[in-house]
Amino acid sequence: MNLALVNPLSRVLLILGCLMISLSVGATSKPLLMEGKKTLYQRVLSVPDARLYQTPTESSDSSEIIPFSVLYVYEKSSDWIRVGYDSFGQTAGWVRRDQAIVWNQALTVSFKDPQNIQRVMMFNRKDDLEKLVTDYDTERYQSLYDAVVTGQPPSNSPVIAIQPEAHLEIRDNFYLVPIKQHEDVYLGSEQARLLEIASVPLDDSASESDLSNLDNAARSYRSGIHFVIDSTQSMGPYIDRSREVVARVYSAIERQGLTNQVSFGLTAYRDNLDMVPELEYLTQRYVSLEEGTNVGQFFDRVNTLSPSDVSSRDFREDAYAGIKSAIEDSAWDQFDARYVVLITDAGPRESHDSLGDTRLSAQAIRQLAYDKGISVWVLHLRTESEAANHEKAEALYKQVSYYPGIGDFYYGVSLGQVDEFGTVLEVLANQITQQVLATTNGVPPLPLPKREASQIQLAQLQDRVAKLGNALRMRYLQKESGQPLPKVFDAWMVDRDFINPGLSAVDVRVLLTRNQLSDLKNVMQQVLELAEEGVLSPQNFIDDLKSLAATVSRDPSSVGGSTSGAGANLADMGYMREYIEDLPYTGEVMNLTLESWEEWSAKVQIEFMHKLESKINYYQALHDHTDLWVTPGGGPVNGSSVFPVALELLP
Amino acid sequence: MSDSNEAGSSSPRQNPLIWIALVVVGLILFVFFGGERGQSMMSRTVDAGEETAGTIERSLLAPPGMRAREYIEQLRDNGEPYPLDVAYDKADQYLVEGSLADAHLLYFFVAREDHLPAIMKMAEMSDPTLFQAQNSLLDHADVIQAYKWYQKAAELGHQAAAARVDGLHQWAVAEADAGNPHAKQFLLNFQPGVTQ
Repeated sequence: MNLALVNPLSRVLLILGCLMISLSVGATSKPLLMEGKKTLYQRVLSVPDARLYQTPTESSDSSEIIPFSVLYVYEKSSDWIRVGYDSFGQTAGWVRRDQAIVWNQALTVSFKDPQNIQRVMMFNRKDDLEKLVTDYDTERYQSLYDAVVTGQPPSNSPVIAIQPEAHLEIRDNFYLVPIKQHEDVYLGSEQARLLEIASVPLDDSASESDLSNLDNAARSYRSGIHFVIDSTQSMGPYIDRSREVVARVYSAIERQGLTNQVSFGLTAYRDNLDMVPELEYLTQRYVSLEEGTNVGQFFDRVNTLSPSDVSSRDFREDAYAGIKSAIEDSAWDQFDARYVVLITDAGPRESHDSLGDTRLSAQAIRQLAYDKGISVWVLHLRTESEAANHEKAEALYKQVSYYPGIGDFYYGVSLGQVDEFGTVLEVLANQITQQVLATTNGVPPLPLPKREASQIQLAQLQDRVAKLGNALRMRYLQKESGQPLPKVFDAWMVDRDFINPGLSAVDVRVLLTRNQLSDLKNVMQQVLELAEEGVLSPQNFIDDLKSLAATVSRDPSSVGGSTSGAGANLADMGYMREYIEDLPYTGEVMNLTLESWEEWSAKVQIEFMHKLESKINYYQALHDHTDLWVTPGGGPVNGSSVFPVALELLP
Repeated sequence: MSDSNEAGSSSPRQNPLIWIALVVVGLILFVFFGGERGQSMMSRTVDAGEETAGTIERSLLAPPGMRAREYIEQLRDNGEPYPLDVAYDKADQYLVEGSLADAHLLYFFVAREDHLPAIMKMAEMSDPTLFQAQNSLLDHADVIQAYKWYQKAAELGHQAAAARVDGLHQWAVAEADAGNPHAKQFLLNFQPGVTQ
């Protein structure tokens, strides 16, 4: 058919038809909505060993899923669920229904540091825990607890598992302990919640001896961090701050009982002595990693470190000499995770530089570190100096700190700000400590390195994280001889310390997406702006709040009626968001009634405003901290990335 | 004469009961009209130039904050630009009187108009390293408020404010180490990993 010959009307119809077809092809599906909800989708968590199938048949191609992955439900049959990692229409495959935990409310538990409270015990049956709570039988609870922590629970003990001994900070180590049900109770005179949770037992395939070996392996897991510090004239403030940071990190290490598992070393370096003999040394090791396990010894030596009195007359120093010395002169084989942290405000001397001692290139230095399984981190102090060529130095340091498969570990401190430097250094050191703590805590599958040096450490850490998934593993107490541990188990717990119920033992959190948090922040910001105006000129506040409700409500048609009553609160007015609507917590912002606002004194109104502002500040800071967000299925942080926000921090 | 003197024993000079009654009445007056946090009823000076020493200023019987709100309304009615220095002095005056709610509201109003001294005042009133309960309407310091106002002052070029932010950071690090959850939360504003 010759298109030119077709009459114009037919041509228009043809084009319209093509458009419709292309639109229908391009249309993306959405996950299934939760019952009665307009924007909330059904979600499940994958259990350990769950597999993702191409089609809903066991014989189709399949791949492993990270345990406790959050998945959106796109389609359901009697035995299968079609899932995706986000709600944007991209499905990932099919999961067997018995390999998924329904998790629509997205509530999870994070444990408090058990330093001053008892570890939380998990009960096999709700009735057993409920009876203890109703009777508030502290004596029986304590005897159960003592038996569990001493490793001698009776065979008929109702306790199925116990919180790990060491504390994991959820902000540093994302984990999920999903809540399946919750119920309000009184524990003594305190309001508390019974929570049914799902958890994964420790090492679900190991034998007793394997478990013991893994325990030992985890306990002997050690991290070595060797600082290589430029000690030329300009570095005084950074040397001082480094000392302060290490002192704080040592305190944290001691508190967490990791004294022998994290060690620091320090090598200082300057520059070519032929050029400036007054510099006194090119490299000098102040503390070795072996000596650095002892905090007293570390500071005895490091306190003698001071910057050079004379200028090195150049904006390059021999950083490679310092790194090389740290790599070659330390007993790295004593450490499982190995880091060299270079701190400098100058560029390095490259292989072609006649004043350089090593005559090594950036790639050669990197290879030297890589061969020993060391990752090099660079904190580059980009001080204000026209003569310094920070861009060139950055390019070289990025090469030095590049770790294959991961990327570079370069951090440029703008204007060389001492506080920013201190913060970065502290976070890095704490992250390393947390990795050791995580390993010790959950006894994750952690084979001691048996691979070639070039393959170990960071890649290994990544492997471990992937294997552990998002589940916090609990010591499972009811293993029957010869029977394998369950892949996943359900248990009941109470959210407050049983003996001191005034103290909470866990935070109940809701997994919010980054888009949801952004929405929450935007709505609350608008309420805050009205409240600020409202404390200064109260006469218009109520009307303004009603007008805003019509704008921000997800269902504007319902706003008019619900705001007429004097007792209407912000939630009724339309400020409530669907994703926090049915949670076992309503914050004071959503509970605010127009009546109470009018009755409040200026002081109470201002206090309310400040609390709201504090929450908004938290939402904003959390939103901007891309390192804290976890993207289901991996990939860069986006609107679907999630973070568990404590209920108490909701408005 | 002696009779008349005995009869005079009922005068305050001679009857202790009357002295006690006077003291009680004085105490009652003190309780009712004495200083109350954020609600000073007794004043020596209300407005500059007014001779009110020793008298009860009726306008001070208004609820805490009302005088500042009326003043703000008046300023707004007169239109912009607002006499911010004058308003700031007025807030100072409220503070001297002990009218903490009025002072707080007026400082807040002026600070929102980018008046640097008022911004610093708002920051200092909330700064946990400087907090003085007797000069604050609020019972506790609020590091987020202090941070917000110091940041604003720093953006307006006030160099001392940047140093104060450093001070808040150091305070928060120490507090977070001691387990203060608010300090931990506040530190999120500083830690790397942030992308705006």
